[in-house]
Amino acid sequence: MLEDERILELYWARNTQAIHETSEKYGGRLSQLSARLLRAKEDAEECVNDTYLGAWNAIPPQRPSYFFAFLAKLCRNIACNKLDWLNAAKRRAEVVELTDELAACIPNPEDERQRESRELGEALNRFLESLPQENRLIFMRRYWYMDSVHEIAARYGFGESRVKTSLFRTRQKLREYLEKEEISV
Amino acid sequence: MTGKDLFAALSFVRDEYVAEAETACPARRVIPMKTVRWAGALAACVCLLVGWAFAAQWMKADNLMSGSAEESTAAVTEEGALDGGAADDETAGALEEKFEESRAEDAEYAAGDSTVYGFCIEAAEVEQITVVSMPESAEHERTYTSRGKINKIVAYLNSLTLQADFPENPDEYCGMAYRLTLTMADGTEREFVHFGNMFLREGDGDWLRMTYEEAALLEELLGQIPSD
Repeated sequence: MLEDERILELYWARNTQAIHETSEKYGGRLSQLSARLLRAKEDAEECVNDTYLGAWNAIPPQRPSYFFAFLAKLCRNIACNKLDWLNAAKRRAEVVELTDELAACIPNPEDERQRESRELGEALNRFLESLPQENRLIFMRRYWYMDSVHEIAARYGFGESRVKTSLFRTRQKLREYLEKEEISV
Repeated sequence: MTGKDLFAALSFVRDEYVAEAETACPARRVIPMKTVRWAGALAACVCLLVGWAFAAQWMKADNLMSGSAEESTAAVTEEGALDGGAADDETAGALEEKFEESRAEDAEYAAGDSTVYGFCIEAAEVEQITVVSMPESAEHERTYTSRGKINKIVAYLNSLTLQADFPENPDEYCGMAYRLTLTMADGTEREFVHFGNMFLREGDGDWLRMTYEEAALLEELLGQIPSD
């Protein structure tokens, strides 16, 4: 497998071998990520293919520093867009659980104040920057990569209770942070 | 805003956080050197204490071995006993005559100011005599409660002519030992340790030396007089 720099060079050279190399190196992880959001296998595969297309269209002019993170964000966004939020029956139970947990971080759901997702994303970036690495990793693996608590515990060699405690406390901190930032629902 | 908005907003987090979550592992906690030093000092103290306790235990065991002969392991030899079968009918005086000859032949033995003539035990005051060997052996254990058997053992102890000064060092000897416990009528006990076919002492007293023949007679008596 080629290094990321070599793959990016293929993109910049408009060499279609770049897609093949990307699929070979990151296809499995991207499929796993999309499958966590989308129930149907076909939807998940389509999401991954759309990710390759999105990367092909974005590179150049972009030259991402973290190639997999770039691909994963593309994939996640595409999967979220595909997901039918209006029909609860199509939601994956894990996603409902995740969104419900995050809903508890929103300090005042009755407020009408709206924030752009990008501004909210920036706030999240500042919040994540303030976290210790361990808590940030657990938070990202849970809510970005949608790993289960068991998977996170196995990944880092923690006990599940430690993971749950970290997530609980991080959500509490996020709620307090969003309150301080006057980000409300 | 709902939880799903927050969930969707996560798509805008920095690539470095996404990459970090994919590749990094949480940093292991580094134990401060101060903690390491304290732990090392504590471990050293514990080792010293354990070593001191072990050494004390070993020294105590060593003293017991040299002082009372409980740890002796060599077998008692059977040779050199007095004429067999006569001890049943002999009094302390008869035994004394027998021992006189052996003492004369014993080049290491010389009666002098340090001579102790028997233990002056009143046989009538002895209710019971128990004998155990060291190392323990059921074959050599005895318990005497009958008057005749008690009298014979007491006669033996009273017949001995023992030396307080002698050139041998009991610490350098090893062999089977016998502990004789005399239970007196008033409830007290007198304990004698017979060791190495050469030495005898009462309680924690000093070792006294006897001739080999005197020493060997005890085992002969024990062999002839079964327990009650």
